[in-house]
Amino acid sequence: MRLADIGKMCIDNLKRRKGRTILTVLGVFIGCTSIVVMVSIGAGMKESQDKMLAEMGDLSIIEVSQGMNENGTQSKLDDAAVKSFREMDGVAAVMPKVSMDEFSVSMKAGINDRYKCDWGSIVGVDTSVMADMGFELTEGEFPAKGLNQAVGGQFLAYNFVDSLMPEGRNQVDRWSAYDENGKPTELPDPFFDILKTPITLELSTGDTNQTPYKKTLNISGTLKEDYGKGWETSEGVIMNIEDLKNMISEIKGTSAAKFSYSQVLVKAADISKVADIESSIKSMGYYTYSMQSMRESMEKSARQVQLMLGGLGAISLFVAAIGITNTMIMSISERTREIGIMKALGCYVRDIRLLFLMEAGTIGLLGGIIGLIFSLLISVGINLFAMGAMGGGGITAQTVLQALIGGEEVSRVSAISPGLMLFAIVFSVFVGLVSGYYPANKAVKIPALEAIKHE
Amino acid sequence: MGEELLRQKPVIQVQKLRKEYIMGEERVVALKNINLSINRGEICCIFGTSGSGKSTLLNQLAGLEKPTRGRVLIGGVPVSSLDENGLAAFRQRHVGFVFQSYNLLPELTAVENVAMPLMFRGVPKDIREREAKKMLCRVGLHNRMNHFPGQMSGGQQQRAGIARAFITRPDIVFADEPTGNLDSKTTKEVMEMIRKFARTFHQTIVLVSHDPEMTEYADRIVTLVDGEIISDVKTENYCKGETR
Repeated sequence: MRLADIGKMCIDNLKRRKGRTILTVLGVFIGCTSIVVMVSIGAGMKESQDKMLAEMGDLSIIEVSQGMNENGTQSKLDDAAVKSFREMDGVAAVMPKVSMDEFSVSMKAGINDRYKCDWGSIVGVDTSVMADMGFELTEGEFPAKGLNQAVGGQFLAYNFVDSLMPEGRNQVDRWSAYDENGKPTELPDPFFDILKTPITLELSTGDTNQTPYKKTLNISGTLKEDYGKGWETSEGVIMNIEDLKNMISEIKGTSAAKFSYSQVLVKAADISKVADIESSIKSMGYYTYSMQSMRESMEKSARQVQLMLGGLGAISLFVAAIGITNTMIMSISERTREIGIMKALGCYVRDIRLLFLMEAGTIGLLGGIIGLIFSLLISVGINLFAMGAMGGGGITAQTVLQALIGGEEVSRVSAISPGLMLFAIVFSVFVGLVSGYYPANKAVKIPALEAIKHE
Repeated sequence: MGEELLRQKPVIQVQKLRKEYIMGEERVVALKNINLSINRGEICCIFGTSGSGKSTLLNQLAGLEKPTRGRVLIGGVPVSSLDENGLAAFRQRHVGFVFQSYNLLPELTAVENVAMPLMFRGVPKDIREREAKKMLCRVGLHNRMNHFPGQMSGGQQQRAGIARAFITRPDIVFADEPTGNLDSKTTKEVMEMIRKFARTFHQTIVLVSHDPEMTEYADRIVTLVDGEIISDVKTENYCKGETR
């Protein structure tokens, strides 16, 4: 038989018992909708997690700090260690970091040191590889060595207090305006332009008898905040490591012969290598931290939630599958004679099997399509509600589109990806075919003799 | 030519056929030991009362049931040992059926019903429906083409059934009490029609009936009682040489 003829017969048969077909399709539709909506909520969770992680920082960076060896001694973060990290497979760049944590730091800026900051985090890195490490500038350029230059964190300027203003009005609050996601909507201008104002550092060892060591730096640029590369990218100061070493030796009056780094940043060439590199550094006896390891655990829990939600939805689809089987068995017992006639007139067994599988598959397909359409409507509805469009903003074509496909500035509760759409349809058809398998084989076994039996 | 030879040859051969049914605890012998040979172009009536085993014999001949013992050869092919696929292919090529209760599919029109055997063969819709319309014209249903079986009388339905049986130009047409549900006038029409087709295309007809009237249309009458052939006679039709 031609496929088109089988298809037409299949449609005719489904039309013949409209009520029953509609009810069975309804079952599949409910099952499909519940799976898609459940999975989409899991996907929405994952989407907002990913977004959060992406905002937090570079996923390919591993922070390494001192730790304990197997034999109980401190593993030193010295030049030898840096060299061994650099030689590891998959490492793109290594950046040792020296901090000035042992000193108390304050900063001043402006005419007559009008702007003050009582604390500061100052680190030294190899500024020539900052770009390779993936540091991003919001303004200006990376500092050069030996020119008393440094880069500031993105929000460094907001740490300064205006000493000429009364308490309460002497600070610019960068959190003054933010949306419900906690993101600032509009950044107020700080008191001064940090790129045009030299900053004077005051460093002291804590010994009050000693006059603080002073150093004036020009801020050559501001970095984009990225916690994966260190907190300094937000509110600290980063300068060239050699300049910093010289500064320390000047204060201490000793030579900078042997340095132990406070931290080393290791950048992997590819995100997939991060886990391997991290574990081998760990085995050398260092503490490590990376966004990747955090992401993995978050992803794992998101996957579990998604599976659980999907499983809940699957129960209703399973019930629908039983419905399809039941409908098909009933239909076959009604059509026993018809099948017998078809066989007596020379219809191949495989055509009969195909006909019944097609009927069951069509029920699945219809349920899947309707279920998907309905799921999309539900998903958009939930998202619009979550985005607050119901309350104030109103529903525009743009918000509907964002609810449907997502966007940079929205976080969705329910996300239906094209993959999920395809899965919904394919899976519904698959459920139909599986449910129809047993009835189809039952139909095939009906003998041609049925045609000859007298009523 | 060769066709002549082929006509002489028995198209159906039944050898030592036995069929038993298990009914509960009991074993019922429906056919005892049937040996029969039907030639090409013959109109053979298997005659008997109900319970004589005539329907069982037809089922065996058409390959609808497997025999307990013995075999059925059609054109030399042992139908009794063909598998489902072989049987389907065999039926498509060589066999047509006319049923007592017509067995037209109620949701198909007359044309679609008649075209059905061609559909199973994979003939495209336009070709098979053109053919079906020709057949319907031949059986006098030119004004019933797009009627559904429920909208036709018994005689009309059986004529459509005949059109369906002959549309593939089968070698053999099996007819199971084809006029069992028809009045005597319609019976005459239907039987004449079957005979006309059979003669035109040199087809073999195996007819099962308990109606003595049928014998008028047959060349040969095989009478069955209790699963055995008790008589096998050639009628006047046969003697008239209408067959050859």
